[in-house]
Amino acid sequence: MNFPVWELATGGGVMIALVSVIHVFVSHFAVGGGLWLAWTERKARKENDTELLEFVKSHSKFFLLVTLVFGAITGVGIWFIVSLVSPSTIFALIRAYVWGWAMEWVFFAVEIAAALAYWYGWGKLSAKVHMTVGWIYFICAYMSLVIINGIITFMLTSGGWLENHEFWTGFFNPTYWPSVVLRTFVAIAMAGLFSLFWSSLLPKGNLKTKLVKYCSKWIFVGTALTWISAFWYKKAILSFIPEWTDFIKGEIPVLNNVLAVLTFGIIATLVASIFAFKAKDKWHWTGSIILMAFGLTAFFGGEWVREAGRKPYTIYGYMYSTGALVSDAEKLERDGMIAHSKWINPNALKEDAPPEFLGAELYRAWCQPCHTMDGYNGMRPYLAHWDPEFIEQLSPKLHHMRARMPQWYGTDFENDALTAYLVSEGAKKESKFPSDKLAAQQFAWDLSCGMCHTVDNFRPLRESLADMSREELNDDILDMLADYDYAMPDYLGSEEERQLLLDFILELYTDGGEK
Amino acid sequence: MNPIIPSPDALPVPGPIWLFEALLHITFVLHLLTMNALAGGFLLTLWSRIRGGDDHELLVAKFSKLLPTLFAATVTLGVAPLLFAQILYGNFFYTSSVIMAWPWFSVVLVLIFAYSGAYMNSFSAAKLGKWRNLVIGAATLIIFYVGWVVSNNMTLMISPDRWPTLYFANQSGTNWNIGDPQLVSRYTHMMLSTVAVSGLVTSWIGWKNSNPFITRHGLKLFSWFTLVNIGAGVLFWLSLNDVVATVVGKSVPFMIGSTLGVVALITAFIAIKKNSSPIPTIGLTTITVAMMVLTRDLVRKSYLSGYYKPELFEVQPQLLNIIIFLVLFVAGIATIVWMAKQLFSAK
Repeated sequence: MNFPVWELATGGGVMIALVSVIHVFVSHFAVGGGLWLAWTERKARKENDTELLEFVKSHSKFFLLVTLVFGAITGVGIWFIVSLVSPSTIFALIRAYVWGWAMEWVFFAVEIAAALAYWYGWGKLSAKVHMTVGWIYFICAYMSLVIINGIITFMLTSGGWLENHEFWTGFFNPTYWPSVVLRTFVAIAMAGLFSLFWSSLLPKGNLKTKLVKYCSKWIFVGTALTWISAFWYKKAILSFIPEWTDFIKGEIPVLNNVLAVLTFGIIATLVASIFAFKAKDKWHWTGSIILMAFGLTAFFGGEWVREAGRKPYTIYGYMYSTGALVSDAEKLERDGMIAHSKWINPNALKEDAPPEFLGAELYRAWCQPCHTMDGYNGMRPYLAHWDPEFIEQLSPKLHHMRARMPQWYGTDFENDALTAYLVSEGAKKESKFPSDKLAAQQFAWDLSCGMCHTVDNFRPLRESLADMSREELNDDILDMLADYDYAMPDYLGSEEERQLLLDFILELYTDGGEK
Repeated sequence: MNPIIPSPDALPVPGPIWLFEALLHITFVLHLLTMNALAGGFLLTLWSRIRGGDDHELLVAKFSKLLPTLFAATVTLGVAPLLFAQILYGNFFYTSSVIMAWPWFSVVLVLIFAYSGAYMNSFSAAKLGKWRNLVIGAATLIIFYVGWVVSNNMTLMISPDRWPTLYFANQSGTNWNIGDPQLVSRYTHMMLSTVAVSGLVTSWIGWKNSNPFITRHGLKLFSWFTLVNIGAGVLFWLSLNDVVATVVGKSVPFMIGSTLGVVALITAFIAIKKNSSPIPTIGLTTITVAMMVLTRDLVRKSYLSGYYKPELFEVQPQLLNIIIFLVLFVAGIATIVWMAKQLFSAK
């Protein structure tokens, strides 16, 4: 732990996600919208359609405001929030890719200048020059995407860079091309979405009909091709991270839901774009807002899948979310965690300091980069039920858990301190089970077996536990847990929890066992 | 050596240190000039709105049209020095940013409002009616707030000795660097410059529009605020610790900068008296700003001496990338100049 950690009740990851999703939503529009403007201006001039040209002009004002104000500032916002939540990652990325960012900055600067020249140039510049400026804008915006895509994909599929630390090896990593193609289509869909919104504000008539149909096509084609390229992207991820299938199968539990959200967003966008196409000039702006919400949903899902798939790294195979390098393992194992934690309060290391104090410092340094107590990846609901001995047994086995965590190399002294702190935090919440019977059983499962297994998919248990009686489950499984595998802790749940867990397991084999 | 200071990243620096320093300084001078014109421009627009009259109305119109572009330029030109500073000073900069995370992050949130305000004032002046002054005023306040946050972070970044006290008392990122002796004087010095520089923009607007009143008005603003700023600069210098103050006082950039600042002031007085061009003052001030940027860098390096050791960085220049960047940089400038030419030569 090189940097201090910002204590955020919501968790830093949520903040990054919020800023990023908003930014990528707008920034893809900034790219696709550039193409839309240049292309549509050309179309209007070719068809001598003054109404359409006038619309392009008014749209370019909306475009200018959205991309410059919102797009540019939220882009800076991502940089700010990532450097606050994960300074080690951004520091490493900047060292590795500063020239990539510097190149991107040139394109960004020309893009901004071109956007301004495009808007202020209406009626001033000749048609030819004005269209050229439009194309300059689009090319620069697209080049921004082309470059940033290299850095973002590198974080997930670092590829051969892990061996040679070479700029272009990491840049053209295994997911570079599918991702750049996918994002290109996303940008086209976004251009259609935003332009459809602006078109839906027009009064009924031929122009509105023409534009609604035109923009719907952009959305439909962009989204459909995005969907197709997503399969290529997934294939590329699998080529580098074969265990990615395990993530979907439950290793990262939320991923299945998020994938469902992504699929829903894509399908809903496709269907709604057909509705818009058919509605022609009857298309209402609220429809556009709903369509945008679908698009945003797809974005939310897509970006989450990408981020979650990287767990527990921020740069795959190189740096963990905690800021520790994969190559640090040896020295962490040798020296323990405190020796490599710069921001531990010196008072916590004094002999008379209570162990919880040091535990809190260790928690902040090594757990908080991903966990909160009560919010995202919240720990308190679990801690309230866990026995101190269970926590102590679990800590050195974290890397065996289902939800991909880096290994904890705490010494006995450090483990005691961390346990003392976690227990004290757990004690702040009543260890109560939900009143609903099924929910209570599920929670008993989540507190124990569910930490490392799913029923049917990841390290599945259904088959192994089939045909066992309550007594057998109790005596031969729960009481003997630690004997099965070195990675398993003892079962130390309360009597109530134990009974609920047994109920849960036994009910897997009744009523069709649909859990 | 303070054990709490984060180590520089393990990956090598992908270019010569001098190149990153040069890029940092060049882009920062440009950022500072546009930022000064922007912040002061907002303030002067508000002032001219309150004063009223034909000349001031003309100034309001000109500035209102200019502010969105200045905003875009300031943000764009702010990104580059931030990037190049991070490659060299990342371990200091990220730490201070985390300690005051909320104020630092708030910059992003409030800038969206100020930026929108600039466009509202430019595109929808008539619609805003009586609310117009409020919009300009709010945007002005935001810009000066952003300056305050940046001054806090830049002073905290070079004061590692203050980090443990602040962080271990409060890890929720709501700290400020209040209590640092250089903070207020540094902020005052920077903010007075904004009015001086935007005074020069005003004089340029007057000169271009053959309006002697506006030209002189701008030059007067520049002169008075620069005069006061010399005092603020002295206070800033006195607030530095003795070692740093001595290093700075004897440095070449500081001597050139302060001398040129005084010469700029004299040329401004002459221009006011003779109704002559503000261009010499503008030129001299630009060089003064550049010299002050180098002085500022010296302050940073002096405060961090003992902690910041670029000579220990492993350097592995990515030659091909450096060439690509430089070619793009030149091509980018040429494209922007071409577009600007097309726009300004259009009828």
